[in-house]
Amino acid sequence: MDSTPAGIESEMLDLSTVDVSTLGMVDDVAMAAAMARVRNRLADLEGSISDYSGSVSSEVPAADRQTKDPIG
Amino acid sequence: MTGRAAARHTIAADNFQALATGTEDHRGVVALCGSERSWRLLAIHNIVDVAKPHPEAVRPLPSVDTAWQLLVRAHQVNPDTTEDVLNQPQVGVWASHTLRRLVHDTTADTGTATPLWADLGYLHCLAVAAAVRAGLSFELDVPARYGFAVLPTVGSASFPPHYDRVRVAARDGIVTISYGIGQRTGPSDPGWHRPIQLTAASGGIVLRLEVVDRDVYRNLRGTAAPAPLDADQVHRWEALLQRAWELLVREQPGRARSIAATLRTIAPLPAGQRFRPLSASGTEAFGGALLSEPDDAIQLAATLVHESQHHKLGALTHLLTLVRADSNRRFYAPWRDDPRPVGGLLQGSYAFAGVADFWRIRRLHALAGDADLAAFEFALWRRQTRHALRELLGSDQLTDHGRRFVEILHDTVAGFRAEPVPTGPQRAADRMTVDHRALWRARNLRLDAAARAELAAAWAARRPFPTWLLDARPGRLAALPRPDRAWFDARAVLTRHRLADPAGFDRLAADPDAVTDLVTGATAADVALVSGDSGQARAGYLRQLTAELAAGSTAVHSWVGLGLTWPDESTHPAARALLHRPELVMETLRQTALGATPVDIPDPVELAAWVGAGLPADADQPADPAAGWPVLDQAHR
Repeated sequence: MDSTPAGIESEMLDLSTVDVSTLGMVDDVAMAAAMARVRNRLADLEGSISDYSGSVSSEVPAADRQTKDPIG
Repeated sequence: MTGRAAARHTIAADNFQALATGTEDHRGVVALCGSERSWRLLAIHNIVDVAKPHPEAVRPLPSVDTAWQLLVRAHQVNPDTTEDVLNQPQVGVWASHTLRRLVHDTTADTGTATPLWADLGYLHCLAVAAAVRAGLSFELDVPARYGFAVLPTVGSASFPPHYDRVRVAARDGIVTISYGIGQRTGPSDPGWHRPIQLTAASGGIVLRLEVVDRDVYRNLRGTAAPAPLDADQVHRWEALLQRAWELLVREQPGRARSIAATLRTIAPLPAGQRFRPLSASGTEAFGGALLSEPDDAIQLAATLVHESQHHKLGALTHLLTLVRADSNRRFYAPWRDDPRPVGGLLQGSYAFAGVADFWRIRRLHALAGDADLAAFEFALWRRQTRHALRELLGSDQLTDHGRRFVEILHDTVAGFRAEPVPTGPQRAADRMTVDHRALWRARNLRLDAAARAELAAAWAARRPFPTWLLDARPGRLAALPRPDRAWFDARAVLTRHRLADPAGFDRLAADPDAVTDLVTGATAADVALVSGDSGQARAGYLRQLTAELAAGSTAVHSWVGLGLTWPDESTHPAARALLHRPELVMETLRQTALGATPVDIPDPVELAAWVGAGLPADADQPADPAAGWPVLDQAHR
């Protein structure tokens, strides 16, 4: 990750020229690393605490705890 | 296969500076919209990648690949509408929720009985929504949940709740949804609900958003049952949004432009108590906000600023690592009852820097009846935010980019200190900062076992307070992460009532017991305190404490309230203890009185003064430890 007076190179793959039909054409190595970074972040249960910013900690319990989802 | 060369997003230096400052950052925000598109593509691709090898996970629906191919077809025909569907905030919530289920099998944790296929099947809903908007002819099954099949940005259909999936078909522009044996509905039927789309315009700046009330992924954490709004509720939201937008564009056009570029959805919640709006944002839901119906347009404008700050920082944290989070450490966040991880503290600091700036400007435009409240909010949040930013800068959990970001933000907020605030609102704000921090320490901090034992023994023998407990040995204090709400804002909310409606507050002071219906967590003694009657407040807190102690309660509200009844927080040793080191008072109490006989119930002032006698006369609330507090597992205490 490089910083120059003009800017900072981020940690995220730039997919501005890619869409759902061309995702598979991106460089394999770069894509695998980018996918892993996103997967780790999304699946990180600890991160889910920081990533939810509520005015209070517990105002909106998950619906599955308060109303039964008829599926299943 | 090596494929197309891949570059990374770059953050222009001036955009980084503007985003850290938090104002006039429209160009940076537009760039964040682009990088969030990349993130979202990667998130969705992850779901497909993880789910594809497990075809059984999506049965009885068609395969993940079938849904994906429909999405690709839609994109080829109409890329703009397909992108619009995929970039909806709730899609990010779905992706993170479903990926956690795929990776961790969180079913047991969440207590949900929802099968995985119902979550994976949201991909089918996205594909169908994109295909409908692209005008394709197709047929695909999608899940129905709580009696609704939701096609994001297109609409939703309702069914008897025992149907768990329906078939969507489109041919020659006609969409039908079939379920059961030969039953059908579609966009022209009464059971169809169009998206609630609101537009607010002022001064040439237009805000377009959808009020999402049926999508199960709208609540940012897991799933939520649909909660359809009625026509009156929609009308109220529309009117409040227009007035809030006019205020923002008129007074803070730079922030309005950034909000217009990011905000896509509001997930509504019922109104809370006055001055207690509920709002939330999630890093994976860029442009989405969970909001309770606001008290008025000013509160809504402030909340939009607050949540847009979260959106910007969330997107920036997708690009750059700003913190080196230690999952075993928590910090004091002056806007929350619970200890927060460093990432949460950073998010809140940035959001409340925006809120402080909102009120800084708002008070300059406020009419006489609103001026004191606006001044109070500005004074409160500039002080609380600066405290949190100093806490962050003192910590060892910022990366180089994180430190630079916080330094810029801190300089901005520190500049607010030079702005004059009338004495009354300033004093009230100062008192509420002391109140909140004392409550937080009293409830959340715990001493180690050796210190607790010494404290209890010294108090029981009425020996002098053991001052060696005051040294800052790491680990002596730990924080309990507690998710339940403790109403630490009760006296601040009462202060807002007094500033906004003095006559109404006078009526409340004449019947102070009525406060329990008005402000949850507040007491009659609080009304006396906020009225300025310290003597009556002290008598009230002592009465409350007598009753609470007799009931074996170690609630902290009355203890800190008692400390606030001395006009200068340092002159009386009891006040010194209750406002600066209340955790020492509470730990003594927990050790000696909890479950004890009435003979052992201490006199509150005597106990607090005993602790306070061991504190330096000029003591202030102590600085927080640089590394935060270690997390204490309540089950192990």
